[in-house]
This record gives sequence, C-alpha cells and structure tokens, in this order.
Amino acid sequence: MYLLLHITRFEIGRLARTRSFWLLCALLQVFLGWQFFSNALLYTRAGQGGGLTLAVAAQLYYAYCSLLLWLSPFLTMYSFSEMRRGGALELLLAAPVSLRKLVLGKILGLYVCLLAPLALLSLMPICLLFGAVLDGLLWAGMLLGAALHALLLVCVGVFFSASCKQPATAGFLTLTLFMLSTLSGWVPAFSDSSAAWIGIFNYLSISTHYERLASGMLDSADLCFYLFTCALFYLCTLLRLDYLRTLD
Amino acid sequence: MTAEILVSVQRLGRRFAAHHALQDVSFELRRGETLGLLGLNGAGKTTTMRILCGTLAPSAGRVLITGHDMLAAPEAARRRIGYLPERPPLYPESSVDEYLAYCARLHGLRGAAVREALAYGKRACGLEEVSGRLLRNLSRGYRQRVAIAQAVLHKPDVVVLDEPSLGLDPVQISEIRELLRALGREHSVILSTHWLAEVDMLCNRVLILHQGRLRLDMPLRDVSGDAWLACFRNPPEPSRLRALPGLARVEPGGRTGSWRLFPGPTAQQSQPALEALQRAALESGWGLYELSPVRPDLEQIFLDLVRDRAEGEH
Repeated sequence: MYLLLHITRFEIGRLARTRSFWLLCALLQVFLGWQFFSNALLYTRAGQGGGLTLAVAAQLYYAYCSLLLWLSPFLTMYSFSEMRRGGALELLLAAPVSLRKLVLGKILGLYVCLLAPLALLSLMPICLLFGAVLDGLLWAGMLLGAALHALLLVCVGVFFSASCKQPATAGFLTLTLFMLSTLSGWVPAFSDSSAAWIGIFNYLSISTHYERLASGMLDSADLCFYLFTCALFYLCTLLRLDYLRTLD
Repeated sequence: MTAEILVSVQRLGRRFAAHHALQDVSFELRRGETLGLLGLNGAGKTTTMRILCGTLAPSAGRVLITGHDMLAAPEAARRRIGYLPERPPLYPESSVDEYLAYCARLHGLRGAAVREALAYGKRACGLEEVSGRLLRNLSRGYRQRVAIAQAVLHKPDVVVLDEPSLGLDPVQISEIRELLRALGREHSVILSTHWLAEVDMLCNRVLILHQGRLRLDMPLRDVSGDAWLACFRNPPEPSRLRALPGLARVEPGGRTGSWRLFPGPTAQQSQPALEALQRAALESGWGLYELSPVRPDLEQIFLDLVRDRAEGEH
C-alpha cells in the first residue's frame, strides 16, 4: 500500500510539473465556466420552475466528459511511453515493486489529476444551492458517471502508453479508439433497423453509458461496462509490460 | 575462508527471435568482488545485466541473487540489487533530492531511513552541492553520478553498472572511476564497460563475452599474470633458475639476459621464491638489476580471444 501511494503521489507531482496538465485544467475550467454561466442565464430567462439540475448541471458534466475524450489522451500518453523512451522504465522494472502496484499507482495518479477539475467544476452547481434546489440523486448519478468515465479514459490511455514507445503514437491511438467508440454510439441514430447488432454498437459507446447514468438511471449493465472495461485495460497493461520483459 | 556467493548465474540463455544473444553463460559473484564484464558491441553484456536485474526475462537458465531466484521471487531478489542501466533512468523535471527520495522509497525505505539513504547516496557520489538542482540542469557527469547514487543508496549487496563512463569527458571519467573504486570497497560490483583500462584498474575479476558466449572467467590477477621479469647482467642457465625453490616455470623474457619467472599463484608462494632468487643472484654474481612483475596487456588478451574466435569461425 505504501509503495502504491508513493507511486501515485510521484505521478501526481510529475503531472503537476507538466504544461499539458495545467493547459487541460485551464481549458476545462474556461470552457465549462462559460457553459455553466450561459446555461444558467438561459434557464433564468426561460423562467422555468423545475429541471434546473438537468438544464444546467447535466450539460456541465456532459461537456466535461466530452472534453475529456479529446483532452485526456494528451495527459495519459506520456505515462509509460515517455519513460520507455527516456529509459526511466528500467528504473521501475528493476525496483522491488510488482507490476500490479506500478500500473495501479500510475492509473490512480492520473485519475486524481482528472478528478481535480471535476471537483472544481462541481463547485459551480453547488453555487446554485444558494438560490435553488438541485435533485441530489440525479446530481450524484452525474458525478458517478463522470468519475467512472474519467477512470475508463485513464485506463485506456495508460494501456496505449504502455504499448507505444512514442507518446504521440499512444495519444493518437487512444484518441482514435475514443472516436470510434463515440461513432458507434451514433449508429442507432442513423439506422432504422432494430437488429441486435445495433444494440452492440450502442453498448460499445462510452457516451451512452454515461448518458444513462447522468439521466438518473443506475443500471448494473452500465456499471459493469465501466468496471469490466477498466479491469480489461488494466490487465492488458500488465500483460503488455510483462511482455516487454520477454520481448525487448 | 571462501566469501559468500551473492550472484549465481546458471546456464543463462536469451534468444531474440532466431538470434541467440546469450548462450549457456554461467558465473558467480562473491562478496567483496568487483567483476568486469568485457565484450564487443552485441556480445551480450547489456542483455546479461538486464537479466541479472530482472528487467529482461531469460529464455533459459536462472539467476539467483543472494539465494533468491529472480523469476520465482523477483521482489526479494531485486531488493538486493542496485542497477544503473546504459541510459541513466532520470526524471529531468525532478530535483536531485526529489529523485533520490523517490528511488529510496521505491526500494521500500521509509521516514528516517529515506533521509539516511539520501545522505549516504549524496555523500558517496559527491552530490551534496547540487541536491536542490533540477536534473535537467546538471552536467552529464553529475547526471551520471545521480544515476549511480540511485543504484547504491539503499545499500544493496550487489551493484550492477552498465557502462557508467559512457559519453563522459576525460575529467568526468576519472571522477567516476574514483567513485567506482570507492563503491567497490562497500559493495560487490558488476561493471560492464568497453574500457579495458577501467577493468584493469577497478576489477579483481574479468569476464569476457563474445557472441553471446562466455569466453573467459578469471581472477584479474591471473590474467595479468603472476609472472616476474628478472634481468641479469650475467644471466644464469635456465636450469639453475628452475632449481630454485618455489618457481613453477621459467621462460625467456624477450630481452637479452632476461627471464620470465612464474613463482606461483599466491603472494604467499611467490614471496619465498623471489627471496631465494635474490639470494642466489647475490651469491652467484648474476648481476640482477631488475625484478618487476609482468602485467600482460589485458587489451592484448581480449583482442587475441576475440580474434581467435572470429578467425576460427570464418
């Protein structure tokens, strides 16, 4: 546990020194702040009596998740590939630390860094509590969805980073997978068919699962999707790093 | 008494697709030894070191570090090793202190033990003055020192150094050698290098790898030879020299009136033989004017070994 926390802490410190992390935080805060303000303004002008959580907070978290799809690869792509390129991976592989702790420490470090902007943006809906009432359960669903969404993006990004020697290649592959996943969520919208394969496309989309959680529907299928996919990519990262010992 | 075996490499083999990078390599490292690993590029030095440190899996054979199998108990084995890879494994954005503390904690040290390890690593490698500086701002020599410090700060039984003086200028090389000499007093060291002089200077045993096979494993004293060159103004017959007690062999010395004497492998054996020679020379009026140890060129031995094999294969 000590080693795990140590690796996590070092990873957070390492990321906090990179420009890309602060750029990501800045972009998220500026864009989401602007969106929150405009949504709150629109809601006030429309003069609606209910649905504030859906009208303002849901949009905010949805935008956070969409932006992470684009921005997180720029953060995760360095996690292992930069170390492989610079030779620092040898240091970790020669240290008395298991690969499980090593990968988990990296994932947790990156995850904390993606949760930090989520915590900051959550302050925006909290402001609304001074003058309005939010649907607590719905809000919790959005938070849970966004947190699981971020964890999945980190796991995928770390896997590709462990698989590539060049960070740019890792980032490109991660981004490509995210785009394919997003596109697969659009397939049902462009198809009249109700065939089973349409459902598969829908299930493979990351956004679909987030949207369901954010709409207040706590479905075990969605939770399983996140947990299973995270575990799968974590396992693949372990195998990939173990394979480096055999292959290199 | 024989010193404890710290590293035992048994019939090690490593294939990269169809290429055999290492074949049937076996050797041992005992406590207090500094082992020099020599070989041409591609001879298998780095592969051997990486397998020793657990960053590469062997295709055959096994490695025991203080009795712990590197494959069966990797964490216990790695805890006893300090490793400097060919490329210093540094984080350029970290300061020297941050980096060394990180490395100390990676080896499971905590609290006061981390501070002690940091102090030891910095003192051993002469880093006290640069402890607050970022690694990216240090000179290459200092970066190499930091990389060596991370390998020794947890006081491992065995320190494995892969070409520690690579890419350094002559002054930095001299400083690093001094550092390695000091480390050799406290740790058992395996040193891979292209510099034969470095091995001659720092190691008490040498291994020569060629095309993935171990061609020579010998205490460096034997390589350098226990021979003594004796030069006489009135040279005696070799039979008279051979009759002296304690001399195993006598050969022509290459110069007029000189003989190469082989008194025996240990200092205890050679000292009485040399004293007997001096007495006989004085009594018989041989005019002994030079008696010096012969140190055959390690470079010559290395080149002969590598060329013989290359010629034999063509």
